[in-house]
Amino acid sequence: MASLGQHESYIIASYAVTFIILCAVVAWLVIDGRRQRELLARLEASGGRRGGRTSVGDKGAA
Amino acid sequence: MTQQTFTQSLANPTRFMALSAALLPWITGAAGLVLAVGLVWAFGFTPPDYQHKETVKIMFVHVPAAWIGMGAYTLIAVSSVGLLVWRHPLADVSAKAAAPIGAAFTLVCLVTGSLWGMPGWGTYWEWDARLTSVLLLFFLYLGLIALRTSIEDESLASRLTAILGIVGVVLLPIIKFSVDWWWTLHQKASVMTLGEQKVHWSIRAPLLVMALGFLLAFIAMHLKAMQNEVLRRRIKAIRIARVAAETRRGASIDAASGRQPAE
Repeated sequence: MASLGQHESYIIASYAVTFIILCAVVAWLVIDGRRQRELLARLEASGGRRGGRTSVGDKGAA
Repeated sequence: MTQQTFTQSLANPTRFMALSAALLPWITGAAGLVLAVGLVWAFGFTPPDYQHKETVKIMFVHVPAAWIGMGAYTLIAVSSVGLLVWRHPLADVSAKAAAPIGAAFTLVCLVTGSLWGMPGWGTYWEWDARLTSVLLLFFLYLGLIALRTSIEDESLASRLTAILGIVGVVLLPIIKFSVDWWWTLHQKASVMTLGEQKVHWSIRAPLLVMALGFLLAFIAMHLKAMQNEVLRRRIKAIRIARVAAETRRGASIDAASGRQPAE
């Protein structure tokens, strides 16, 4: 990789900030997804069933 | 059996979960691959700009982040219309899922723009029209998230955030044309222009590759966030059903024993 010139620190900081922010979002999504799946599995294992199709996101769900 | 239209069949959350689960690994892989190609191109084969020199490399993350930040808000506005007009079951899920991701990309745009501003303009921040309007977009995202979380009734929260989402879309043309309407430190549009090409292909090509990578990454994140939200609503539905069943059971026991149900 060629030298990034006298403003190298600004370029590296930009990519580092981008990487950190986007990785934080991805980590949050993965952790949240795992948590929701575990919770749903636990509820269903304990005999939990959805009642009426009351929720917007729930319509038509099996 | 009722006949479903194409959009109704797509609106089925169970079908969405199956389809998104099949697509997500491919979109994530494609995003990683395209971003890797874009980064190698940007750092290995892109010449310095005649004006910005090597700092032009910041553009490869700054501009795609700005596009995705505005595109995500457009998606929220379209989803909000889908909820309010057609009551599309996944529209609210889509709008809710897009808000934090759009906020993150807008934050990337603001921070990288600020870091590009120092070597280019000699300042990290200037209260000019473009920078301020993008900052307002970031605050609008935070406002949407805060409004939704502050209202317990999910249906009311969905409708109110949908209205704010649609009203807020007026900010997008202000951001886009701010550099034409007012004097700003920020340069005028140079990539998305209808006339002559203002950016040489040697810089334009890796920029478009990075933009495609950012777009694929956003789609993957949005699908994942929508999956999480559908699961969250299923959990809520089970809990509501359980509380309702316990209430009914309590009422029937009270009726059998001749007691007045507890208030």
